[in-house]
Amino acid sequence: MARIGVYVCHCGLNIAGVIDVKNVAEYATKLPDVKVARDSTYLCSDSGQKMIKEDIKKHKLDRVVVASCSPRMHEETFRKAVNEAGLNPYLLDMINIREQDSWCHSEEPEKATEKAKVLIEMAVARATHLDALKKGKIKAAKSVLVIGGGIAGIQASLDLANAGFKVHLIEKSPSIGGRMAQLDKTFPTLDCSACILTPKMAEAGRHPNIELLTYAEVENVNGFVGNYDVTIRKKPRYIDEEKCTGCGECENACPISMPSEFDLGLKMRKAVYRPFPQAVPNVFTIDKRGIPPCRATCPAGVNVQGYISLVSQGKFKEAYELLRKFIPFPSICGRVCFHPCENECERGKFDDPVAINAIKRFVADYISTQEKEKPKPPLKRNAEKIAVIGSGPAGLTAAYELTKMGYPVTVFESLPKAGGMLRVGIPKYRLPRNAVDEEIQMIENSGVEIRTNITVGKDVTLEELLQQGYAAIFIAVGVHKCRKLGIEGEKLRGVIPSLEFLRKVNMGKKVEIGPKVAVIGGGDTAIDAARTALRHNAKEVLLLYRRSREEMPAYASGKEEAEKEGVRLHFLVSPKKIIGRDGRVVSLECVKMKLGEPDETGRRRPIPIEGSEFIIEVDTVIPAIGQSLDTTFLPKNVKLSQYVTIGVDQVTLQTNLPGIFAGGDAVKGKATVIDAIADGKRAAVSIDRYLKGKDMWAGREKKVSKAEEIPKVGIEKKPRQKMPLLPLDQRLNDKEVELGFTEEMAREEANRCLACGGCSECLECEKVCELAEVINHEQKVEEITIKVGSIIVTAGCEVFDAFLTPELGYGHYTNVITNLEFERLSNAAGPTKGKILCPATGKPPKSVAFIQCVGSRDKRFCRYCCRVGCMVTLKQAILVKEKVAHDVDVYICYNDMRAFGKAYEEFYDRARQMGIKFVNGLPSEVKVSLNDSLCFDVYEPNTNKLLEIQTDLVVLASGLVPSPDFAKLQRILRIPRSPDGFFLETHPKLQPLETPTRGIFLAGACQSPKDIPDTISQASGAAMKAAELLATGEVGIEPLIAMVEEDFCSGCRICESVCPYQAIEMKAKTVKGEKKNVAEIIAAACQGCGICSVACPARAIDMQHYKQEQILAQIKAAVQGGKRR
Amino acid sequence: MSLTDLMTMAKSNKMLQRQILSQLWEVHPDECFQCMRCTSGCTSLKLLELKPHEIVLLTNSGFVEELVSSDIIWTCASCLKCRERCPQKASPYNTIMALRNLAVEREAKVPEVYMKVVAQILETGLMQQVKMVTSREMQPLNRKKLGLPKIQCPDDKFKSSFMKALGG
Repeated sequence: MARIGVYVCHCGLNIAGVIDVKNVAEYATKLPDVKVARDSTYLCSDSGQKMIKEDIKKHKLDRVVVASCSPRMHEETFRKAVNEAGLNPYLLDMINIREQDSWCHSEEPEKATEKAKVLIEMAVARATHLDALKKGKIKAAKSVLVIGGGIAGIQASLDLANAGFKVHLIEKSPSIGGRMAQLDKTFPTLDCSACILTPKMAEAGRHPNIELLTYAEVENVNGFVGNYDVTIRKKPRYIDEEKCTGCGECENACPISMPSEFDLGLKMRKAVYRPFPQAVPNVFTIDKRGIPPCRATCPAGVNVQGYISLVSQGKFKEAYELLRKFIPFPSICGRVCFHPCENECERGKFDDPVAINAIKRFVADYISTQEKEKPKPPLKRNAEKIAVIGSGPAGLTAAYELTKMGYPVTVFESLPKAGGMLRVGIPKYRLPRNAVDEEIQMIENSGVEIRTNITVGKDVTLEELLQQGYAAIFIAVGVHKCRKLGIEGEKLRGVIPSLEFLRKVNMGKKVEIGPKVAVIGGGDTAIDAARTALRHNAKEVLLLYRRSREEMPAYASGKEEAEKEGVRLHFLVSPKKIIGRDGRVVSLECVKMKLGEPDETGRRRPIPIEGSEFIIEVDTVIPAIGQSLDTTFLPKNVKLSQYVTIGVDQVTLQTNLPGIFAGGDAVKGKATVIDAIADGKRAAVSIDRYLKGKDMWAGREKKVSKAEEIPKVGIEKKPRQKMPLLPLDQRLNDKEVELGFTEEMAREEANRCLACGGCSECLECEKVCELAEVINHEQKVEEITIKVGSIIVTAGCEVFDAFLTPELGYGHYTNVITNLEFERLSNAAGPTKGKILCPATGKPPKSVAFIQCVGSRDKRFCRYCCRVGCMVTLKQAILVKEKVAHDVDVYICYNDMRAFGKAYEEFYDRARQMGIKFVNGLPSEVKVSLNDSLCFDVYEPNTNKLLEIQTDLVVLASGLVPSPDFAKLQRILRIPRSPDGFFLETHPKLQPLETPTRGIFLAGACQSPKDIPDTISQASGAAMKAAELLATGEVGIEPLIAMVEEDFCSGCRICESVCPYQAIEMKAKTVKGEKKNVAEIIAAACQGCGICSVACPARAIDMQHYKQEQILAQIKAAVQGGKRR
Repeated sequence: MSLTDLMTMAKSNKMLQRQILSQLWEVHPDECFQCMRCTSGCTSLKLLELKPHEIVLLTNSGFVEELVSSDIIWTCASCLKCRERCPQKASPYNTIMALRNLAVEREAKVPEVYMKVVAQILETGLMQQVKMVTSREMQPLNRKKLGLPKIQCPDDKFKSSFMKALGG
């Protein structure tokens, strides 16, 4: 039999004003097991507690029921009181008849009294089943993780470090300092923000108890109070933090400029940067944003952004050296490459793509006028000889790359001169032969042996080469056979296949062509043939193409120039028969075509129109409808692809015969020079790996982290530089038609690059850094794990994006700025060196208007007040008066002016004394007046006037919003957020620094927007809370947790899967002689939520203090008590 | 407990305010905090002295009578700027429309131009009268000359549903 005492509190009139307390107490005396029941005006007072203690002794009570306010207020008070009287504190039960009864039923006092009776009856029934419980204790790590390196994080870290705790301060940006570092002055004292912040930053940087983890983010948190395991992801700075001295030489050398985040885009910084001069740690960071689209698109992976950025700086030699690292033919590529890079160029989405190819050609041309250094022969020599068949771009690239690796390479060429299609395919007016000679000479200089006039398959066979000791062979013979038209008369004299025609012309051989030439085909070879024919006595050149102009595959500029030079293009025409007389061509019978449905290439299929035949008189026909591979030299056992080219593995380029590789046109059919170069490079890597016995496939799939699309705000439109061309009347010879950029043009054009990738990896920084191994462009993300006892979240906040209120003109008018931008303008280290100047004009403003509550107190965006906007504006208005001139007109348009802190109202007063004009109304929209200044209408109610304010500068008091990072932090830390998006404290008044997860505290603006004094107070408070928790190295834990009846546990693990706190582990145990897996509760992690208890199919889990029998007794009392009444 | 306008001796009428509120959805004139952004941008303020914030405040204070019988509620040009830019979703425009409806209900004097529009709609189904246009060659053109179909007179079904919508 239990002996229960029941105590009903009046709580002044809070309870007694509604509930008949005496009546309730009297009712309680009649309940079973109740020995005494009393009421008291204030039970929580000393006298109230004394009464309970005395009753326990006098009536030998072994259970106590208190009916009063929420247990969150006073459960601890009464537990302590009963404990002092010798009773276990968990034999107390407390019920809430204030928040859950008198306050919510104040209009129905009688029913409220009845409810109180039922609640007490339930509590009494439950009380008899209560168990005496004991608090547990666990060891706690005496270290704290502080998330966010703003002033809150710095202050909390310093307080804890000074108290002897180890602190890990983590910051996602490269330096600590946070928002406060961006401010100019602070209200209401007008202290310089940096002057009061930087000493704290420096102290945090050198404190032995503080470990700074900058440019890092929390990735995961496991564990529980006292024992949190934290995984941290440290982003690569590409610079060694320990070794960097912050000298800034790398910054001077870096060619890339990008908007500074710290200066809100008002100033540019380099790709290697330090956000501000007082940064802690004082080291540089390289900003890489992924592979730019140009580089990602280039088949040979040329670092386009790298050389473009160097050209923009006038570093042509460096640009050339960088280019040569990727391709051996900058000059040739710069003339004939089809530059897929330019199609992908981000600038093209804005105005025109950067003229990448022309810049590359300029670099090569510039270098060819300079004295060249002789390439150094490779230091290391490998023994294995390699044969390359074909001296086109693919073959020569492979040879060059392999020679660089130290292999002796021999190139076999059937023609008298090396170069392949570069020499015999592409006409001289597009690619001057000195460019080809020069670059092939450089390849030879590097140690490649080229043997001309040797036709493999005739002079020497592949097998013989292998027998001669060549360990690997790369076949890059190209395609030199023209496809046949397949019509009558192709054997007639005067029909010359295009490649044969071009080859003969390019080798200086005589070709007979008549005055009237018809070229058949729509590709580049057709255009080349037509333009070459014009340069060789042809009077009239027709180009017949069976589709229309849109489908024509030839490159646009070639088409255009051909037409200008006099080639006549005929579309939708196909040859049907070549008519001859005396064995010579005299005319061509053609048929008109129309376009049908698209075929498998996506182009519309040409269909002949019956009866539309016509005859053109011509004396030469040049078919240019495609090429094919001459396979006669190949051994029979080499497999071919379905397109009758050499079949290879797509990754390694190895044929079905080991050690024999192939690439270029011989594999791809008809590809471009850059594709051939890419194949050469690829084959070189494969051959090296093959000879060294390494895995040829490992790590070669194309995996690039492409740079994200970059914002084009604030970029000025600037057209692409036009390629200067040879005047039309000076053409029709071998002179190059495209003349190339001048130095000015190249630099101007290079400046149009948007630097998509951030750092361009031009490696200029490495050249100037005097210390060894400080810069490491290959640095990877680092994962760090630490153990801490407690976590303080000081993640700060973001500024409202004023773009969302377009009516106020932000983003539209340069002179409309946000108040954070004003801070940078006013800051001595900012873009204007502390002079407040209008961004559009660069002149000091003659008048400034501030508009309050932008995004704040606005149900379209943030309902809440930003809490600092009024004071920030007062401060900035005063700064305008003080820094610009006292006669500058300053207006503040406001709705409510909130100057609530210590010395704040005096600050407001000071602003009024300075003649700042306050307008009690907000404008609807900001416009531009006739004299180009900003203007807006605002209604002033006190004078009943609609005012028009004309001003030079408008400053928007942008609100404060939660950071987008909060969602991730919320998930990782398992702490709640309030509807406004900020982190939620446990209690708005009594526990403002705690979160519901024990051991995790909040401070600063991540909890709610606040000013610096409040932030620092909270930070010190949170530090104190963490110190209090961890001071003894042990934390006490409530016994209100789950417990497992091991007999019943079947080890099904359902509880483990549903536990939100990861507080359940499976352990192998012997229970009553039976070995099995049973669930075990980690007492420190369990929050007593009860989900496992409900989920357990075997009912093996019960909650201490909320056992099933206790709850059932309560329910029973509720039901039966109701019946009795 | 009462609120009296000492200039006119009018008493505040809370019931009428509630009646206005009950007609509105998704806007909250009672939450207006008088920032005056609506009046600062009001298209009708300069010419016709419409002050939307005043209308909302008078309505919230229960001085609805004087508004219903006033000419000022008919000056709104329906530009919807106040609705779009109101930071409290109070939308004075909606209150003005509710006041106009109340005025029609009470058969208060509706400006003639509105009645003309009603008559026009009943006659042609169009809000505006069909006008002639002048070509670049200064030729006057009507619908027929432009090859446009003749305007159909709306049927009785339309007329009755239109009148119903007007509360008539």
